[in-house]
Amino acid sequence: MGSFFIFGLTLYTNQVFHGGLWGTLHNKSVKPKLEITEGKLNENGLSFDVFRVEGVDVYGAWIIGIELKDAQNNVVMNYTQDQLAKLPEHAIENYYIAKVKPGKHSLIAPLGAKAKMKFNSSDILKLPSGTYTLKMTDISGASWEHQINK
Amino acid sequence: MNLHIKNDSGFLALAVRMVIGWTYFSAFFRRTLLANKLDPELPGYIGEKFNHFLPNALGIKPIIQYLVENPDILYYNMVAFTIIEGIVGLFIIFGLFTRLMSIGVFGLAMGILLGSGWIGTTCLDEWQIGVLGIATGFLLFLTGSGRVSLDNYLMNRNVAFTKRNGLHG
Repeated sequence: MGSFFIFGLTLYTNQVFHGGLWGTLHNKSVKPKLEITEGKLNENGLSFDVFRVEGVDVYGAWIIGIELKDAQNNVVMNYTQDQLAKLPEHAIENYYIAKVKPGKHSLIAPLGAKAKMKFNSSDILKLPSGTYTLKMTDISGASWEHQINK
Repeated sequence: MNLHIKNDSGFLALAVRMVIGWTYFSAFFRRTLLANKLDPELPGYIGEKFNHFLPNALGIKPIIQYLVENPDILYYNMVAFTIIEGIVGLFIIFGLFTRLMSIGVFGLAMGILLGSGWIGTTCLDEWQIGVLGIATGFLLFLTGSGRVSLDNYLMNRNVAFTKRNGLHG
């Protein structure tokens, strides 16, 4: 009885974690993935939550660009690799033990880390109302977008 | 015990007992003696590894989230886990309180499976060790430890507590 239960648990977790029985196989430890939520643009500037949910547990992700575009696709804010490597501490508010932090050449987002990012330069404060798209780019070339209304 | 060797199921499982015991004990050994992985200030802190489990854990996400939001409680839990792993591993290798410890093997493996079963870059690494640990814990619970064990030694010596009803054997 116990043996069949354990075999069942094995098959079940194999399916849930990796798709090992049917459907598409998946391995969430291969490529980094970020989730961007809670995007806000208001009188306090730009803020959003970023949560690294997939990828290698001991490495990366290396964020080399954070960009904000308006509805006409004009870039209104652009943080480059070097700027992200020098991001001040008050721009990042970490929720957990694993921390998003500036690294030597980019911003580092470890697996499982979640942080509120805050940008309030005068350019951002002056932005008119409208729909904006936030884009974060990993050094692998992968990128993630999030829509924000002001 | 005058059991024929082929009927001594605990003895037949000796290789499994020693290997699974070492996989657990070695976790304690490397985190405390070979390197200091219990210091929250140092890179390599296992609390941070525990944080890596969060995004895709199965069923125990709220527990992981609570712990990584409360570093003090996380720290005590990591120390406790490490010590339990050390005791369970060591006792399983020597065959002391084997059946009680096999429940520990089962439980710890279940924790690994649900927390980190989705992690693994080359193979399905953590899933494999999790399910094998569970199966092994169950196996050892059924077989007990057999002739090469402290349990057996103590029973043959008629040490008092072995005469009471209990989990060991």
